[in-house]
Amino acid sequence: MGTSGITTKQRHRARERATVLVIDDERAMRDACCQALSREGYKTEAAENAETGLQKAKQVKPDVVLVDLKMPGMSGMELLERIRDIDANIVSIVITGYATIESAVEAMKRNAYDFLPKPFTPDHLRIVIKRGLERRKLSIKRAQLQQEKEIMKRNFVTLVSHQLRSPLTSVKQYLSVILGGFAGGVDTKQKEMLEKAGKNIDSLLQLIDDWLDMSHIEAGNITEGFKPVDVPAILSEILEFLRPSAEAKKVTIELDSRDDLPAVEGDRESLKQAFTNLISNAINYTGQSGTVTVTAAEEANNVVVEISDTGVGISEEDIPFIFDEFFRVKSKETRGISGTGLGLPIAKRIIEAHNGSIKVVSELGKGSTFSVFLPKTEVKQ
Amino acid sequence: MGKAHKVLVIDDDAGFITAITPVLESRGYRVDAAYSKGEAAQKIVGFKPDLIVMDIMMERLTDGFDLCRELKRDPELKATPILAVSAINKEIGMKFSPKTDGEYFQADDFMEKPVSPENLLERVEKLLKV
Repeated sequence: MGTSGITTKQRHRARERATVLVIDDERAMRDACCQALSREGYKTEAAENAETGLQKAKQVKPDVVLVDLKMPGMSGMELLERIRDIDANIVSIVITGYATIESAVEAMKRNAYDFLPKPFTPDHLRIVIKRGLERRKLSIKRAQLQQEKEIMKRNFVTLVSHQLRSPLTSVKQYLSVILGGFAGGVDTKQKEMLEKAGKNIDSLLQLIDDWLDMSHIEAGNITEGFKPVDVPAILSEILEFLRPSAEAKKVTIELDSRDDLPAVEGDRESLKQAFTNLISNAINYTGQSGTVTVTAAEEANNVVVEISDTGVGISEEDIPFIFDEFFRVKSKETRGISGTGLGLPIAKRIIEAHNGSIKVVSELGKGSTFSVFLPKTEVKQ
Repeated sequence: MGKAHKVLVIDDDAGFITAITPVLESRGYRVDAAYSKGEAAQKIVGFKPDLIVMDIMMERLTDGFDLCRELKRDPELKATPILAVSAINKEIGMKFSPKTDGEYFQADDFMEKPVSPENLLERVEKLLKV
């Protein structure tokens, strides 16, 4: 026996595990299929109608099912659905004498993977089955990997929140107690250093919080329970909140919006966070005596919010990357500005979770305008 | 001021207790600590605190909530003010406050960690006055 003999044997042994169930009311067709497939080493089962087929599908859990679309009793289409309900990973292949585009589309919608128009040759059958099995293997593998990825991601979020955030919070707690003079006297030099250490802890905590926010948005947590949201109201709250930091930088902030704008469907807190990120960014990247203008208006089916600044602007090369995680524009002008590099990506994800979009127009040295488009609710509030 | 008020700090994070004990003592409060829900139950009976500072998430996620509910159901203890502290808002993205979720979370006040020492003393003083 040569090597090829062994490989064939191995192939047969591997295929023995794959079971093909043939459901067809025509005996000749069933027998022909089973015979051709057994010869290839597959295990075969046959059923003469949909009901028996379904029973067998439940019992033997086949890898592939061949289904004749035209049978008395339960229709082939219904059978496809019921098989999918048993196990979505069973690959269904449809056999039909009158393959029309419509019936093909119908069957595909019901999870059929492939088509075998009658009459077909044993070779054609084997090729289709082989392809179906490969597909099954891939989709099972894919599901496994997906699951592993989800678990890793969840674990990572937990790890970050507990293993990093808690000790940092604790360090920050100690610092604030020492700085408050509750653990003995602190001289000026020490105080200055401890304050700097505290600021660094703050930015680390901010980074973790931003990162956790991002995974919450990714997990789709914010899209549950959307309610009508009054955008101008959010904007004036944010401006109120950010005014002191703008004034400290001598940046003027202006809000221009109509009161009767339609509401948008969304999560108020998340939208507030998105706009806060955009507006505080605008303030941060605008130099002394600059201006940040926020406008809200209605345009076609959207509520459009524009945040314009007279700040440092973004170069053409950098624009494609500004919504990437952890990307930060690096230049002389931006050196002193702190940030996590997650503000814009968070804003973008929140807006996109609201079926909205964001775009930016900018010129280096002149300033930037971020435009946010959010679909307005149908009924005017 | 008559007798010093007694404050029981409950947290499984020893660091938090170490940090805030001198803060509370600076105002003359007598401080005792408990590092678990079980220990807390004992100390509440023995130490008889006038105020409880309590972490929400200890060994189990619900320890703080449970303890809080138990205390507020006890006719002898329900008058003891509870100041809950936690980093829970940020950690699990859960938003709650004694104001809006009083039914489930009957703490008298809530502070996010890390707490500012001045703010902590202010709140403690306020709770002890009522």
